[in-house]
Amino acid sequence: MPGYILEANHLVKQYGALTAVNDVSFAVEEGEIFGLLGPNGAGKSTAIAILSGLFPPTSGGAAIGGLDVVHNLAKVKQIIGVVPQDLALYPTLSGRENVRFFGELYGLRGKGLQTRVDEVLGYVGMQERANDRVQTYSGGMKRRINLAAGLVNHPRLLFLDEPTVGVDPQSRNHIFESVARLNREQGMSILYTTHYMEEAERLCHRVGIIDRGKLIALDTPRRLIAALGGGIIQLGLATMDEAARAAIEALPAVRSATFATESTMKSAASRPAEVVMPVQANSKAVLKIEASHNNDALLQVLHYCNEADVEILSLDLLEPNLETVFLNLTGKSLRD
Amino acid sequence: MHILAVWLKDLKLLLRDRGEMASLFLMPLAFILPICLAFPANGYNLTEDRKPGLPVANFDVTGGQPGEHAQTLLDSLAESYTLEHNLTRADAAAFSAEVQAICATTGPSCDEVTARARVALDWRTAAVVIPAGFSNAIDAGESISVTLLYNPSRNSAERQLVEGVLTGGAMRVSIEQQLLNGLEQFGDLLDLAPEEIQTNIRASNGGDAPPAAPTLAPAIAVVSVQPGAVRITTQPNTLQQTIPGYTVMFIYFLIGTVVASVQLERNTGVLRRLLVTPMSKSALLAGKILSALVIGVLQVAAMFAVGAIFFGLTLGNAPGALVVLTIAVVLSAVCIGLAAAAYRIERGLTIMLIVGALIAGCAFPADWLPPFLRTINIALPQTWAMQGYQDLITRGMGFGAVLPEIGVLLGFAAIFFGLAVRKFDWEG
Repeated sequence: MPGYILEANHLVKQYGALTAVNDVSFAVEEGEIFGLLGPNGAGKSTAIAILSGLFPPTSGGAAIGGLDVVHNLAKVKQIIGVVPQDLALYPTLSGRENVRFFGELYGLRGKGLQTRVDEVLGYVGMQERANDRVQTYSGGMKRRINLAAGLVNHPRLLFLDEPTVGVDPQSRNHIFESVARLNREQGMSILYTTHYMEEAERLCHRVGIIDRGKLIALDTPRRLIAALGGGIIQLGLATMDEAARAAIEALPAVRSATFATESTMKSAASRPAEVVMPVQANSKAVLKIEASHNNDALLQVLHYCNEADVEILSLDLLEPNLETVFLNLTGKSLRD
Repeated sequence: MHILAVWLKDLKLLLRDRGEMASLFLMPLAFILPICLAFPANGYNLTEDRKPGLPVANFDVTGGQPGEHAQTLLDSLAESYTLEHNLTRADAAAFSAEVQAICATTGPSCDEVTARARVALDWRTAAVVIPAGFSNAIDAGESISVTLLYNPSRNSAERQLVEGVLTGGAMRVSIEQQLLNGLEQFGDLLDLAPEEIQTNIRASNGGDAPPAAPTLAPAIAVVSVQPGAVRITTQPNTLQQTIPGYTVMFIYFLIGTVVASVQLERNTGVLRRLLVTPMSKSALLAGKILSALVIGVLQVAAMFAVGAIFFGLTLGNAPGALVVLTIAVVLSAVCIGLAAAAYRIERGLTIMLIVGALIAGCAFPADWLPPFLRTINIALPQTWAMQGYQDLITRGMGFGAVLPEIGVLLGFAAIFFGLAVRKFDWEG
């Protein structure tokens, strides 16, 4: 039985008629990097805001380190670190002054504070520029100081909310490495939200997929992808031919075949893993084919269309990954 | 300790914000320095050779014309002053409805009530009231008094100057009359002289002398009195008006500074980040108030230091009261700033602050304003701040005198702090 650093139970957050977080339950194990994957506005940041005590849930509850986040908030705040999506720093203070200030808010003083500030600045690779004002940093450097400020109290659980938005590749890699090292060397538990599926695949031990406030899947990235099978083939057709759909679904290498809307098709195809034929604007229907084996399914589908004289206007072959998992679950892209 | 951390951080942020620092420290100096250099220290007297005004109410009127001796006295005063009499309702527009009602008819009654109001408001050092029957009394050799209304809080030398001119004028009238009486008595004596001598003297005098009527010499007394039943004020000189005035005007620019500080934390997401740390909301607000308080007190100290060192401004007799008043003034500004931030009043602040400062009498004495503005300006903290500084610096009063102002300013601070806490959007 694993020990959980965080347990969220049926969290709900409503703003009037809008349900930002809708009955979300999950747990993060000690020493685990847990990813919350979802498009912008899915409810990831709201979930983090509730879990970090910024505001209480409308209903449901959560515990961190065994402490209720509503009733033991003061103690909870001491063991968590939060790296918000915003660059929540004072631009006219230096990187060091920013980190130092947040350290003081956690009760660090004197030499202990100094040592810890140097330590976290080293962790994020910002020692050399630490005395420069934040307003002079690049976006990536600001992100790294943003991360350092969240680490200064040596948290047991770190909330990282979209920490790589708008950063250059070098800083992005640095952040990845820092997060991985924190987890590997210090055993820090991390709740990582992102809408980049490659980040979740690369860093997270387990991933919860969230959409429109609801947690719609939760497992390791490998198992989520494996559950998808061989991948997805998107076929642009001239007409929404139900007979053709049924025939294709009956092919041995095909798990299912469903017609998607045109808008869904366009957005899903905006970043295909591999494009065989470009999507054409005059496609009237898009048949989404879930394959158990992509190559076999592709051959069988093309053979059928040729035999049945079904006109193909476009064809997309999507590799199996978290992006296609999300597409399969929601019918839309993570970047929608 | 959290308060200390927030205080030091906010202080650093403010001191590094060149725009805010310029607006808080350089802008008031930009007004204070040229005005204090351009105007004489003792007032806004643009034409130094112009005669000062002297309100006069002359009740010695016969057939619509001043009595003979009243006219002599007026002529005498007019050599040194611009006489302010024969006023109309328009001249009384700045005063109370009661004064305006009396001034519905032009005449000495209007002149007198207007004179009293002007002296009470310290627009004039003194005023003269010539009683009815003044000329007849002098002719009859009776004692008569001329009243000098004066403002006791005003520089006594100025009052003595008016008294001197008035006494001189009264003496002139008195001496002329005594000479005439002497001549008449001389005529009586002449009747006793030989006929030839009487003829020669009368011929050289241009005709027959009037019949002798020996009288007593008239005694004209100048009675100095204070106008009653009104609050006596003292008008500040240029330094006493300009230095506290522009200091107060720009202290309240701290409102914008506090708004900008909260806005920065809200817009960058720092506010949300602060709230997930162990720091309490009250510590956050207290730290913010303390840092702005320090800046505000430094601002006042800098302006008054410039006034004292470069222009010789005296800061009154109660330095402790000055410090407490300053803290109350700055606290009111900071708490209004917090409330403005809570209600997200971020635009148009500057124009509101400038208009408020003008109405409150920061740029010129509030007594120059029409009555309705002097009524509504009590709703402005700048008015109380200015009144407090004027009581201490201009009128040399003590701690007890400015307690009401301090109380009102702390009341402003408490009310706006309450509004800020109630409305503050902690979720950003």
